[in-house]
Amino acid sequence: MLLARPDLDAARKAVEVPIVKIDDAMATHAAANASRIGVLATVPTTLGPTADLIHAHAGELGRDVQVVRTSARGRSRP
Amino acid sequence: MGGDKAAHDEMVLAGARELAKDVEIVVLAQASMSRLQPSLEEESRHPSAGQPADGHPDAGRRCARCAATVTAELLDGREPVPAGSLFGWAPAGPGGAGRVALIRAENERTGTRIAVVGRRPDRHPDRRRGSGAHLVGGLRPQWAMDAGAGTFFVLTNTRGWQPSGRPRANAEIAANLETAAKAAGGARVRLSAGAIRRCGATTRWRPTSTSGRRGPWRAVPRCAVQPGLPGRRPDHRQRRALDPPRRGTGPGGQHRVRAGRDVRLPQLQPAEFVAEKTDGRSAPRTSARCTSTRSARGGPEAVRDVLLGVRGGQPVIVNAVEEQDLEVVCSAVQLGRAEGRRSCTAAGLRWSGAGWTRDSAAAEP
Repeated sequence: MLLARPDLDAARKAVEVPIVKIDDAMATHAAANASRIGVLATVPTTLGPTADLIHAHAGELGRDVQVVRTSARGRSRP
Repeated sequence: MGGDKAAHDEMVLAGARELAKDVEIVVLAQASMSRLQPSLEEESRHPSAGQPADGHPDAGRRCARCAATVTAELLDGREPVPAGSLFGWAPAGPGGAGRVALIRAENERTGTRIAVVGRRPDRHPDRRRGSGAHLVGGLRPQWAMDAGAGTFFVLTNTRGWQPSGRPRANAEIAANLETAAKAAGGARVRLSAGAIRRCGATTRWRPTSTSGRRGPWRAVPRCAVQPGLPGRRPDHRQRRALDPPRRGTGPGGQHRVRAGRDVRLPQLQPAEFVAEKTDGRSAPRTSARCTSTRSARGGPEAVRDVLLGVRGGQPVIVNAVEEQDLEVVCSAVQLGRAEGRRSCTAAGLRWSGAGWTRDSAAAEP
């Protein structure tokens, strides 16, 4: 499942290559087990894509989640 | 953190403690944090999710369904990021810097990639090793894509590993995947850790013929980008060894002669160019265009500037004569999207459609 990655999804359909994103399972686990989720990273640019991925998986599961993004250097934005 | 593991861990734990006060679960978004997951859960009594603790079992289960041999190969996502890791060697000039920036951004987000797999031992580039696996040399997506069905492509993140620990990490990943695959009933799955080639590698495999990717294969020296050293651009001899001059025929019968940095490309007149690319549906005065020369010399930023300069609904016709041009264009589209510009893209299915799909996958931020 390659959520929030339409290009990769298209690529998978085109070439029949199974593609797995290693943080899919992490995002699914969080989205399935919590409604208020904190994302922690030391690299701020990681926060956005990870939050987007969680939202995408939550949408797939039909769940409404709130993601709090936090840089290990300080809270960025909810 | 400059390699200060203790300070890194303390910073992460402090952030996690604070975050755990008002959330139900803490997601550790980077693999470098994974070693802290058990202690964090014990200390805060909070559940957490992370990679690879969650990712490897999931990938292993998928491996089981794939019933193929998996060779794990790591791409170091930390500095220095080899310019060839995703897009081929960066050209000289501002375009090169743009590509490297994109590569770094990509690695910043996804970190390392693990390859990959196969059940076509006859196409293994290194038959002498007899591993029976189709080792996709390097992780340029085109390699994985070209391997066709049977290839298993796993994206992962190993930025947190020290260079000295990468071989062990590689083996650990393979073992994790194998364990998970066996648990899922994939008895035929055999996984092995491949060589770490992307950073500090001294050779890579290329076909002896430039006319196709089928063997026989030979090892050629590649730019040795050693961990801990600043990224070093290959000189012209190294670039020629990696990407020998070749002639290619693109749409409209154009051709390019690649020799070092020089790119000579006969240009169509604007009217001819637009007519050819749109089958006569658009006129030069209503279209923006970007030639392959501009994309080759200016890189993604030059194409992005064209994309950002157009009015809503105005078509932009971008000429891509070679695969590298497509990579630049895909990167430029991503840059445009990063600045809020939405676009619809079209590529000719006969020649460039597959390349567009492949390169878009590579350039996806």
